[in-house]
Amino acid sequence: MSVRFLHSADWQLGMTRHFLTAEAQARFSQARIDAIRTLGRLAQDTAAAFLVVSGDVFETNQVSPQTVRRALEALASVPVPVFLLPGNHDPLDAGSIFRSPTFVSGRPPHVTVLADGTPHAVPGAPGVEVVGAPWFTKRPLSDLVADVCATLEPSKGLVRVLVAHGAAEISFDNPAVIRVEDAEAALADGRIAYLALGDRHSTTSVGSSGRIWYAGAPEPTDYDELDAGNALLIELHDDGRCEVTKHRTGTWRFARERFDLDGADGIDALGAWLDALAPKERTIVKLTLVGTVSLSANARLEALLEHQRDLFGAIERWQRHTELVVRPDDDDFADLSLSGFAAEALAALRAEASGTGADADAARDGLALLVRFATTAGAAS
Amino acid sequence: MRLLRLRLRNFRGVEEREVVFLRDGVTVVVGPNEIGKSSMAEALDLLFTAQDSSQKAEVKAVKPVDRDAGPEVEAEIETGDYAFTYRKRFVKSQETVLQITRPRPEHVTGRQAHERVEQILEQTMDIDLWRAVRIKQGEGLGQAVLGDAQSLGRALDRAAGTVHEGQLETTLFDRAKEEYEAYWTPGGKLKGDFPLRTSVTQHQAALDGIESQMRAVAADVDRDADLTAERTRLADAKGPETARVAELEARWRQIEELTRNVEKLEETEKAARVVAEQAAEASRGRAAAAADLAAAEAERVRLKAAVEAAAPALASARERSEHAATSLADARIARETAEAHARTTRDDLDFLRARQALAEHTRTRETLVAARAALAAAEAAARSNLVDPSAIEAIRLADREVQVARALLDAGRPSVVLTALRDVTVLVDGAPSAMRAGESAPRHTVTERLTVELAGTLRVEVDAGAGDVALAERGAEAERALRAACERAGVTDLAAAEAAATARREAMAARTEQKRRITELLGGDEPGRADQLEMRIALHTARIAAYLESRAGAAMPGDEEAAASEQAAADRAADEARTAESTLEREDRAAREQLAEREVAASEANVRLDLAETDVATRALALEERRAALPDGAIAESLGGAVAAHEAAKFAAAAARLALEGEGPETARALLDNARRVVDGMAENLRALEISQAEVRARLRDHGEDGLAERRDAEVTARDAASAELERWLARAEARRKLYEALKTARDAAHLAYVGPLRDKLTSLGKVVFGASLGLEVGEDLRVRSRTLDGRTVPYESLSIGAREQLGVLTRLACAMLVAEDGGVPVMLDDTLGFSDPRRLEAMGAVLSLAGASCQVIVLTCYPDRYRHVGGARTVLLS
Repeated sequence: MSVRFLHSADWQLGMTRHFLTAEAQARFSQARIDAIRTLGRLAQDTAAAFLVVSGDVFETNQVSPQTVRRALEALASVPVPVFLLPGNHDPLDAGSIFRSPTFVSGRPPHVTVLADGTPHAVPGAPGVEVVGAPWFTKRPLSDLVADVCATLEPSKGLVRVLVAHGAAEISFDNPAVIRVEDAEAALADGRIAYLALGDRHSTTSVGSSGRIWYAGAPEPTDYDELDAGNALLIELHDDGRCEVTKHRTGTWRFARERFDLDGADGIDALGAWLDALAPKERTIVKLTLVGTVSLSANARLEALLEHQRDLFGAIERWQRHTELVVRPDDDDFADLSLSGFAAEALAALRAEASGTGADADAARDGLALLVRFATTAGAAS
Repeated sequence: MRLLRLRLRNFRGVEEREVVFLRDGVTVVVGPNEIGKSSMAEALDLLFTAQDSSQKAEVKAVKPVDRDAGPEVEAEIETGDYAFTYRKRFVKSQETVLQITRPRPEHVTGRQAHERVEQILEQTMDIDLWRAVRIKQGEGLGQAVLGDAQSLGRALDRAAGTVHEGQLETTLFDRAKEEYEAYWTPGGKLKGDFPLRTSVTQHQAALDGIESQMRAVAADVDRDADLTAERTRLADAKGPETARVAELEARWRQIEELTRNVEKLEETEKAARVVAEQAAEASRGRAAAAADLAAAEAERVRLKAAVEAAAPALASARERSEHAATSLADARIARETAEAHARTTRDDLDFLRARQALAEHTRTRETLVAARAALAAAEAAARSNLVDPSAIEAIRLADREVQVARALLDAGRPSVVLTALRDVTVLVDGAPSAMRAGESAPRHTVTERLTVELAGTLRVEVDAGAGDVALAERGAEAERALRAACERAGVTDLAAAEAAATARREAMAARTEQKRRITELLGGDEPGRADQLEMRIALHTARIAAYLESRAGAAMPGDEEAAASEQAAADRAADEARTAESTLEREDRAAREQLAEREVAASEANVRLDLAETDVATRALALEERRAALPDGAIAESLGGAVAAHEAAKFAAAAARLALEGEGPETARALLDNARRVVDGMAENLRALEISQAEVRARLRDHGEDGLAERRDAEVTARDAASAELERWLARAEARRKLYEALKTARDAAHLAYVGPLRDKLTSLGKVVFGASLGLEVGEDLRVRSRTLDGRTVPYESLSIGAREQLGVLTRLACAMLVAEDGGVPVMLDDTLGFSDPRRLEAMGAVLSLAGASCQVIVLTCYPDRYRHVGGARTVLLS
């Protein structure tokens, strides 16, 4: 008899990203709630017996009641038992969200919070036990997995799924680290059949047993994630095989790119790249722009970005790495037929703009204004 | 533009006037007030600006008041390439006619003509400059507003080599300024950044608030964990402590047992002590009673002996007292007798004295009477004597007067001195007078006749002559006066008067003396004294009589002396008797006192003896009775037993106490109390911890649903957005500032550059008027800022009216000269230089002439002389 269940983690409901406008943030947050429903549908489609969530269900213990209510509503739609583990973002301390009146009163009966190391039977799945190693504080002082494993006896015929959260290392620097060798030992002697981990947002296998996995976050949260936006379907066969299938749940995307804007094509290339991305409203872009552009080119660039900003979830400019220099060239001013003091002023500003520093920046902006005013005035006369 | 000719008809007060101006040079139009000089400038203005149909007030104002005719203006003008005659009639029979002669003849009328002229002038004339360089009547003191004059600007640019500001540049500058002013105050401070900054600050504040709340929540979570740990620890510690308390309590109970035992033994000891004391008391009592009895007996014996010893003394005291009393009585009688005798002697003496006194008083009285009589006599003598000091004085004076008169008369009278040359006898008035040789007879004054005869030889008769009648009169008068005075005084002559005066004085003196004597006799001069004297005499008389009667024939001493000595003796005797008596009195008193003392002492001693006998009897009886009840031996026995029992009890109690001490009861109690306190304290702490934890959890519950994290994130986003917006806003502000400042700096420099030519031209013209040391500062608005002369710089506003006036005209001329190349504008000066002195006027004339070489200058004035120094000027006289 095989046991089939879904493994997810790091929902971090209530997460905000500072570069999102209020409107984009709302969509982003909604997507993360929707991921729960996606998992529910996935459970249905794959005939999974239950769903385990390995920690960081909520972004903090102080998310708003609205977030909790929406989460509970979405959880209610999941057709299988759900086991939630408190992680380092939402530990089971005195302020735990899992004990707040909103959660307690709204928790659907099929949702269980793994509040200690006691094994839970799974309704509708005989012979299966789910055990949790919850976080009680933000800084545990021991390997929680090892602590729980120590209380378990190997039990033939009983499939135990241990749900835990945190960094799994083969080192001893941090006393709270989950020691992989110990976990693999527990797997070997049958105390546990699978270790469902959370904390890393990219789907990752740990060790060599193939039974220790990070499910990853159901929606990506950052540019650096290698493989986020998944859930895992685990099938534990009688014969000891463990089959792990990755299912895509993510709808949002983070993209980071660098562009060289020397020359006219640079901006065009940028424009084309942006155009190609879809769906734009669920894509977050970070740009590194390098090069030297004229005033008019800069104006073009700004116009392009302003246009695209309305379409994308967010467009960030990576200030730390941007090396974009705006240098006015003669073409910028060719159409202006300024004479007398105006021409003198123009020359003075150009001289100042060629330097560096705040004054030079202001001078460049002044030049841009001059071009604009002179062009409008010239057009009028 | 050049104005060649101007004709007015029916224009204000001018019926018809035409003036032809020099095309190049200075035309001075001279005319009295109200002749219509200023009307010419006004007319030209209306010609250019007003349509013939205009109903404006300034058009209507120029209609002549006395005729119903339309004011008419005609001007012949050359401007740019054009030459034309332009005529307009306003108000009535309105008409506009334009006749162009150059470049092509044209004839235009009505509105078209007006518009055509406008067009031509627009093309060819800098109207701003034309207006700027004109000086209307009464406006001579303002500086020309030259900033807008484009032609001037161009000319200056050309002269300075700068490029003139074009429309584009001006528009650009204006736009840049406008944009700048939207972000910056005139003072160079940002404006409008406040709301953005406030927004940032507010979001930051809100963020800080939420973060502090979140910190509080985190702190509470930590605190909850700490409290849990503490409670556990405390509960664990409490157990052993509670056990310890039980242990100490058991020990304490043991000690209490021992304590109770000790108390019991002490009770026993106390009782035994009481018994022993009582026995001792009884023993002592018995012994005391016996001793007291012995003492009482001894006392009795002593007292009896004393009584017997005192008896003889008492008897002797009695004797003495009797004797003293007898002696005293005798002495008393003797004294009384002596005193009576002394009294009698005194009375006798008094009597004799009184008699003496009476005699004296009587004598006094007699003397008084005599004195009074003498006084009366003296007063009578004085009264009757009329020669008082004034009278005698008068008589003396009169006598003297007589003497004087006589002397004078005599003086006038012949006098004869007879001197004998040998012994001779002469007859003087028949009387012989022997004279020795050398002897001179006293001078004879001849009153009537003097006859000196030498017998038988010579007779000399000297007649006094009539003498001075007045003097004789005077003498007679004096003698009369003297006689009268003597009569008044009651005397015959001076000698008598003197005697009388002396008598009078003596009488007065006698009177005074008598008065004094009387006063002396009476002892004072009060009126009642004499009466007193009488009274005394009477009194004494009576007294004497009485005394004599009382003595009735007894022998009396003969005189005072005897009486006095008798009295003295009697007094002495009386004194002695008194002394004796008092001595005996003292003795009597002493004896009586002694007797009394001894009697009292004896009686007291008897009483005491009685008491002592009674006391002894009583004590003896009491002791017998007690001994009968309880013999002395029995008392001693019971005392011994009680003391022994007491000792035993004391020993037992001491032993028990020692045992108790050994257990250390204080320490045990202290430990027990302390342990109890510790346990109580722990319970207290636990309770407190429970309460604290309940509070913390309640807080977490309350705030757990605030959704702080998401709110915080929202604020961060908002704050960052606001910050970014502020940054962008600031960047925009800076950009505008940079642009505006760059443009302004460049423009100001350009302006400054082209101010140069105007300043130079003006200075060179000005030097003619003010002197070679002239320096001028001209601002970029082409106004004169200051004038420097002989090293002193004065701001324009502080210059004198005359200087300002001159500079005003010079500026306009300089402008016109600079612009002249383009065709320029005529300079029209209506009634200026009124404040300039003759020397300056001359210089100004030279400058006008200079200007006239390149410009058209039209001067309107009332004063013909004012502009006579303008060389080469045409003068037009209006009449």
